[in-house]
Amino acid sequence: MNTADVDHLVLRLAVERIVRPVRGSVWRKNGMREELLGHLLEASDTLGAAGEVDAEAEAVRRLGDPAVVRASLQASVPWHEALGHLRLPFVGRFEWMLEGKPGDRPWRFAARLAWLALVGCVGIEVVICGLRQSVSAVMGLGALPWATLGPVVVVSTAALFVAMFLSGYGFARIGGPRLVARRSATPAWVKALLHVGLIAGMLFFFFALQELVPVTRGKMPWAKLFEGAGAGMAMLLFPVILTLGLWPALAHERRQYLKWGHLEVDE
Amino acid sequence: MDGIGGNRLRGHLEGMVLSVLADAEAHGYEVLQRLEAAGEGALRLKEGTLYPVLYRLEAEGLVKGRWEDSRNGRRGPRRRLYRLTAKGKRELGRVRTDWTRFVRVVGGILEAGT
Repeated sequence: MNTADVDHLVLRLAVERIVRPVRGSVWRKNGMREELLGHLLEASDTLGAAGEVDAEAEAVRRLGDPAVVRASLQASVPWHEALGHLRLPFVGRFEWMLEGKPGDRPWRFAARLAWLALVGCVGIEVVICGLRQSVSAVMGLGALPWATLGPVVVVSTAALFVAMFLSGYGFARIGGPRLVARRSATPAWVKALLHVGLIAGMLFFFFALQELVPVTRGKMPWAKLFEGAGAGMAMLLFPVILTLGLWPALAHERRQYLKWGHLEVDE
Repeated sequence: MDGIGGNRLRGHLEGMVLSVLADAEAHGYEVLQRLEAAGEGALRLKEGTLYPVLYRLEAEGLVKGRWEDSRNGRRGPRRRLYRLTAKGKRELGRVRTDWTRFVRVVGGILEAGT
């Protein structure tokens, strides 16, 4: 990224190295950034006026060891806030599923997720049906109506694609995939909710499919199917609803990103 | 003679910050300048550690921070001004009393052999 046009880059990078890894709300961290940068600017002005050759570097040195300052700042964040912004390795590993990869287009992100869901659902279904079939054979219930599952799987996958496309489009509108800083700023509980919503939605669909398994040929339990699929749809729309609900906060974050987040630092 | 810093200041910085804020509100850098002026050049503060102290004091209700209204032609980001609260003033009084007693007792012991 181009950082050549950033004023006082040395100072901003020093601030960013300290503040970015702190687990806390974006508002609190931006307050810290403003204060530390203001401090460094005043300190470098004072040092420059006193004849210091490299005033900015000296001001940074006087600020102290970044790790120590960072630990002190972290200790000043309330525990519940720090807990909410804890980096969860499991969630982080699957972030791309809901947030997309940098440079992703919404349709591509949605298509990848729908494809994974399709393969996953069919795979699980095959395993479960296989198990049930072996039980059925023992109980003499006959073969399963495999043909009825196909259309439902296709419709479910299409619904997932639409839901994820809308969610991805929402993120893209506010600069989603470009917001590198957003990944560390989005509270862990929001990420966890998004993932739970997605997984729960897929499970609801899965249970809706299960309703078809014991069906006799020629009779579909439409009411039960719609009930399960409706609940599944609601859960799949959860990421979309959450995106819309968090829109003001994410838009604020984007403005902050333009000020701070595009600086590349070693954390 | 070595400067006073690090572990020797641990536990005292909060009281010192309250003390320099007793006269008038100040932003972080000004707090530091007041501390250095009062320390007669003997203090060796890592400047970055001042802000966590201010945040802790604010969380405890001992100081109250506010973003300044205007920059008055000054460059850079907004500054946050801190002032002592009523609770902070009471705490400062308690810290001063404790310190006076500490100096009297420990000083008395240390000077007894001289």
